[in-house]
Amino acid sequence: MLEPEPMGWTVTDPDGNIISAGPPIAIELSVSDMLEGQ
Amino acid sequence: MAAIDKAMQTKILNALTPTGAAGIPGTMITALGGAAMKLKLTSTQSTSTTSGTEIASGNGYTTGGQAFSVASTASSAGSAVTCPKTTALSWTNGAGGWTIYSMELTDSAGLRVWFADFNGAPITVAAGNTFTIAADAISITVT
Repeated sequence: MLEPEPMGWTVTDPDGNIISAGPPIAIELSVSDMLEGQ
Repeated sequence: MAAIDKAMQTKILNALTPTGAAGIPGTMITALGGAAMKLKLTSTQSTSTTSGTEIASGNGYTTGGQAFSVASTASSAGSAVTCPKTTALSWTNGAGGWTIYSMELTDSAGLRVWFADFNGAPITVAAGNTFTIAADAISITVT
């Protein structure tokens, strides 16, 4: 059974019902990218 | 896109390389603001060199964003840092609705450090609805 993807953000109505949602955010800073001036 | 502010990237590189006089380390990074860091929402895309247009103040959003209230677990042996810790951040639109594109993590004085687009952006938040960022939904790593 597939695990549901964790929600990173949600938009809910006043009753708490989820209208839209999206996954978490990953910020990855690569040192090699930095050295290449990315 | 998700990354570090270009100016902050430059400071890190200069501080950790022999860019100072006669090959000494370059200018050390100055401390960020001493109060809680903040998460800011923008209605246009943030880039490494330019902040997005911040959501207009009022109707449930305050210019500068929302301060974190709980300390994130410090990185250990290079592990990721996640935020917001324990407590979700949320904004309820009072009128007019919002279009949300990116988020920016800033120090308490508004100096931008990290930025990222929300997956699924632009996100529409109609009047009366609430936009929430779940606890630990943002993960930051350096590799």
